[in-house]
Amino acid sequence: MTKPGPQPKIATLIDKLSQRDHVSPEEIEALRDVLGTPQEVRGGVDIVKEHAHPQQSTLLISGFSARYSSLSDGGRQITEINVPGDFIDLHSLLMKQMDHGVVALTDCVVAPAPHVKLIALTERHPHLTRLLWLDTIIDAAIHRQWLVAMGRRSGLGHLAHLICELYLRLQAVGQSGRLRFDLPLTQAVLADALGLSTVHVSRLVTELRGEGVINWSGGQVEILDWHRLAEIAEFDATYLRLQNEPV
Amino acid sequence: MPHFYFHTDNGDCIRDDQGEDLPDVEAAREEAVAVLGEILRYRGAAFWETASFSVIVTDADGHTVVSVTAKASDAPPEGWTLAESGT
Repeated sequence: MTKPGPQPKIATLIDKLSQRDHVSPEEIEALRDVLGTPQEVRGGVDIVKEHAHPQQSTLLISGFSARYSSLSDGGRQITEINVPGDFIDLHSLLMKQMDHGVVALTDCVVAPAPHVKLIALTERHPHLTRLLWLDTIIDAAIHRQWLVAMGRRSGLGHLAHLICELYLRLQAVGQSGRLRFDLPLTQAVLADALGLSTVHVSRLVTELRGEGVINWSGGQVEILDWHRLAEIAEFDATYLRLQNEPV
Repeated sequence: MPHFYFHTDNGDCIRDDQGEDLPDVEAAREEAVAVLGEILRYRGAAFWETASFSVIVTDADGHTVVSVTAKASDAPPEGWTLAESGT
């Protein structure tokens, strides 16, 4: 992993926001100003603990993290996988207390955005505030699609949906190749995200591979047949709001 | 914690090479039946094509610890009769 520099790299965040609406140079500067020195977080370590009262929100610069809720039997349900450029707990600015935790799934680099600075930003930059608001609304849209998948999709459709989603989200922040992306997650993590057993997930991966839809080895996913994958997932990308429309 | 492997068989056996650490055999039973239920849930009428599905749990030495099997048939289970109602 590359050492984080003193200046947080916010290209992924800017790429993502710019896909939805124009981001002015002043707004980019304002985002730079709120972010503090980047820090490394090892895979498996909590970035934000459940029930904490953070005084800052956190931008994910590299790596994968996950929102999760724990259960008393030691299990957990992952409710969203975050990719670089995601503000992983912008919610805490207004929610104050975390209703869920955020864990680093791989080694991550994150940058803090102190709440006092974010409040000042919302007062000075209403358009940028709406763009960040939109980002948390999209988090909610992602949760809705996960809920639909969890309750009503087949196991295969659910896994296919997650692969489609992660590919498009990584593509939006310039972190994917052409129909391929790094996904260094264990099947146990995928099981926690899909609400399935690891054994079932392993069978589903084998099934998608067997049908020639994807290749998945060495932590890299290659989509061999996007059309078929999207069909299995019944994928409709509307919820990711990838189109450019002024806010 | 002991390590258990959950192989699945619906005609073709799919070996579990990763396995899972679980506290005891009771937890392995719970996982086995959860896996069976999850996978069968979306098999639909196609389950009658293979008609049988098993989850076989083995320990680190490859010995079978427990197994669970679900079957589909057009005939009733052996020895089963519909009880008269109201008796």
